[in-house]
Amino acid sequence: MKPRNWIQRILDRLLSIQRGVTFVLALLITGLVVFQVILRYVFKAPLMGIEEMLLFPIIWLYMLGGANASQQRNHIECGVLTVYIKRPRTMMLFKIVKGLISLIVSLWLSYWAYWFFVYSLTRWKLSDLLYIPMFFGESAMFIGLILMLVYAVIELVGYIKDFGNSSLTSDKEELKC
Amino acid sequence: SPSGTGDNKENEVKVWKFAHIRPAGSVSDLDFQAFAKDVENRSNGSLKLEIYPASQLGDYTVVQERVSIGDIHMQVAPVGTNLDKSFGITSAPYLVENWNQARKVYASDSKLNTAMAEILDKNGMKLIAVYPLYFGGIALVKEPKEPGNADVPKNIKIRVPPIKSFEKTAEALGYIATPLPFAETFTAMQTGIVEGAIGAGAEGYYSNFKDLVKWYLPLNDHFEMWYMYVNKEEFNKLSPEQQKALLDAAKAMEEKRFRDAEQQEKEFEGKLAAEGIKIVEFTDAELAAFAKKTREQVWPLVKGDYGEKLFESIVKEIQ
Amino acid sequence: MLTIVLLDVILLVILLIMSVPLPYCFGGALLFMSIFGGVSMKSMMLWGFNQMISPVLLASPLFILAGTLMGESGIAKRLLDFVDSFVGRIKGGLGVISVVTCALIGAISGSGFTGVAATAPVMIPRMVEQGYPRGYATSLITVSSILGLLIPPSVIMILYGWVTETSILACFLATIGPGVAITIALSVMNLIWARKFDLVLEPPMPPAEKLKQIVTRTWYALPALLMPIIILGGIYGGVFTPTEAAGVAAFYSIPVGFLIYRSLNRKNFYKMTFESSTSIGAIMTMIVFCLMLSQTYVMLQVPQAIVKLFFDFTQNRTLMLIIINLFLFLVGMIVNDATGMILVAPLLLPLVKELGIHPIHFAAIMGVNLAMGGVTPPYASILYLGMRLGKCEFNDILRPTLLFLAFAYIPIVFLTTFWPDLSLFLPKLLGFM
Ligand code: NA
Ligand code: NA
Repeated sequence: MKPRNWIQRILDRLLSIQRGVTFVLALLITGLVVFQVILRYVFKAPLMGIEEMLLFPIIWLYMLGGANASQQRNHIECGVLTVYIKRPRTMMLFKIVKGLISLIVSLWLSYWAYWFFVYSLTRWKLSDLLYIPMFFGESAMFIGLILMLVYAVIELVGYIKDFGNSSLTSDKEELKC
Repeated sequence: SPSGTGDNKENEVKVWKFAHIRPAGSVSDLDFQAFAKDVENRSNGSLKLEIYPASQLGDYTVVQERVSIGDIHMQVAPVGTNLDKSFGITSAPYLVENWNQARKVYASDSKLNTAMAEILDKNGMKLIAVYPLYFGGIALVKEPKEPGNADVPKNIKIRVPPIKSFEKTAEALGYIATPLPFAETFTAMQTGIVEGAIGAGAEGYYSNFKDLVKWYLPLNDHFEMWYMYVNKEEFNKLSPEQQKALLDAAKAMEEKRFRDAEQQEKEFEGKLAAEGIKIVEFTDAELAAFAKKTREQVWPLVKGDYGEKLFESIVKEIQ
Repeated sequence: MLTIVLLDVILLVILLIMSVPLPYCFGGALLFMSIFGGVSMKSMMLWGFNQMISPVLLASPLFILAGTLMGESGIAKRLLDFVDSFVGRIKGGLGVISVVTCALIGAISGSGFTGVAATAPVMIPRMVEQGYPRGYATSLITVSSILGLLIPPSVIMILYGWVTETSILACFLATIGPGVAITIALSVMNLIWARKFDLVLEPPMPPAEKLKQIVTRTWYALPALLMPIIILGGIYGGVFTPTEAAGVAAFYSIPVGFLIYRSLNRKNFYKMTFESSTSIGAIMTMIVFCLMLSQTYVMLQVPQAIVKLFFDFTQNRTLMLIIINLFLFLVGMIVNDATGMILVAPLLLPLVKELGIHPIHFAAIMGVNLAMGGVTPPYASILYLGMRLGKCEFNDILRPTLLFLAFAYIPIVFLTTFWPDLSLFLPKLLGFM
């Protein structure tokens, strides 16, 4: 019981950080864009570098948003086969297969994102105008994918558990179908 | 096929991915097609270049990194400053004032190009040729106030590339520097968000904005120079014959280009004029004044980015 | 090499049908290309990163944010009431109101989802109350919601303009003609169909009262009606770019929701912003891997191969256009609009250029086809959302949807294809061509 609670607490904490950060980023981006319009149109004094500054919140919003979507199981799916699967046990097996595929692909993508993470760290490129290390933006790809990987694992574990639990009651359900 | 013996290496046909930024069928694209054919002939068909025009493989700065990583074999384009800020020197404002100076400063054995080749080498790339384009200018959709006098504020917003030297140059020449993504520039000019652009020359404006702009100001504010480089490791994997074929073809292309470029710049100004675009003629005194003002105002701000020592030594070479 | 690509596409379809989350469908297809197509993945993340940070692309997420906030701020109801005060008494009028409202919502949102999410909960109960069958009402609203992709602003047009380097503003204008044509076609079809239903109409109002109603409802709808004027006026008037317009729209919806409609409060503002960041993440992570997949095809020079394949098969322009439309219809069946755009536009553009079709015209052709994809099964995201919100079964909604598509939508698709002026009239008029 105890280690499980501990993991759960870390995950909850992680989630609330993710949520808070994406909220702030969405507003920050909107604000920066509007700010530039006002500077250019009203004051006729646009600022160089806003575009460059924007890229950092943009990529973090996308990748953390992607992690949010993974956590909420809200990624876009086709969902056609699920309409035809009626038996709960079949559905559970199907979900395990689906979860496994997601996990394998997620792992592979994370590997290449890690490659890019290391590349970015060793090259330490600087942005053109403000000299912000590009690593602070480029690392979002890896962090975002790792979070997505974590949630893919949790999802798969959940499906397997559901399947395990259902085997106790499966006979009854099978009869009903 | 196995890469064991020397014989095998010679006969092995290599297909290289070769990226550039101009659309298929443009003057430069035709040059590069001719170059690719030349490489194939010289290598007896053992080195083929597959051309990816129009930035199909990404923005030139990205492709530069992809060449450095080794996923794409070669590119010809301006050098991006993402890997090293010193690359910015190649488009420094008023580094050179005329074609004679350009031929000297950008020659393949010049101080500048040796330095650029060194930085490329440090990043895993080999410089094989340069490809001079044109002197840059400003294109406008409306008539400027006293275009020959940089001290008169024009009160015109022009799009500048997101590079400090262009921002400061636009300001030194009397315009309001306005950052916009290149992809949005055309429509921004159409709707009036900006009324002009800096950062290209007659050829660039002709291919992108000929339907919109009404005025062209050949200020010679920067010299547009492209670099042709290949991934070093991939280059080393070629047989000596293939390497020679590539380098010889590149040299031949470069020499031909230096002969053609000045003439072509004039041709494109003529094409702009044929579209009804007014080309503003500047006197030598006016051009010298632009250069003087820009150098005084902009160079101190940007030479730190290029590496002060390198910049000073190149400037000294010109004088 | 084309065999590998074909196998890859088959794998992609299998993954899609298996309901694997979209980013991993493309990731899986990418994995296949990396192993069997020999495409190096080393610089792919770098390339994807650089595509994603493009300021032009930012317009899509910002329009999603704007649309979500507007949807929550009660704008849909105000627009409905507004349109309702003009056509309320005609038999079948409520159906027309739904169609027109969806078109108007389309003018403030960039996707089809916003339309369905905003109109369905308000509109379907009202239509059912008046005697429309539930399946019919849900179907009508769902099919009309895809107008959100044709009436500017539009996420898929932003994507098209971006990947093909065509003026986004011109693309926006190109789909207005087909969008209006579909609005009219759906309205007319509804009026004919509604005669069969036993509808209860509201009693007529005295003219003075009616006038008063129109005035108040217009007043309440004004902030919502102002939004498209601000967006489009600002874009075409040279105040801001489409991306900035999206930012301004999102920004504008905050005070409107908080102060004017008072339906936003601190709690649901946080919730809606978080929710839209989740949809932004879902869409953008899908887009990045879709882009990478598309890039592997470009690296293998698939577009050139497609051009060759087509011209080897036939030289007949009409036949080729029909095939392209069929192909796009199939693409719309299996993937969502944004995916279809990113994956297919760069592959087909060289071909249509060879056929002498203007890229702006092709924007409209792709737009109407891929928008329709939102309601064509098996992958019919907007239809499924509509079903959930309208509380009805697939069987109830299938027949009316197929009929709307067959008689109101598909004819316009062909009209758009073979009558270029339907889409090119506006871009020409406003000097974009
Ligand atoms: Na729209
Ligand atoms: Na579909």
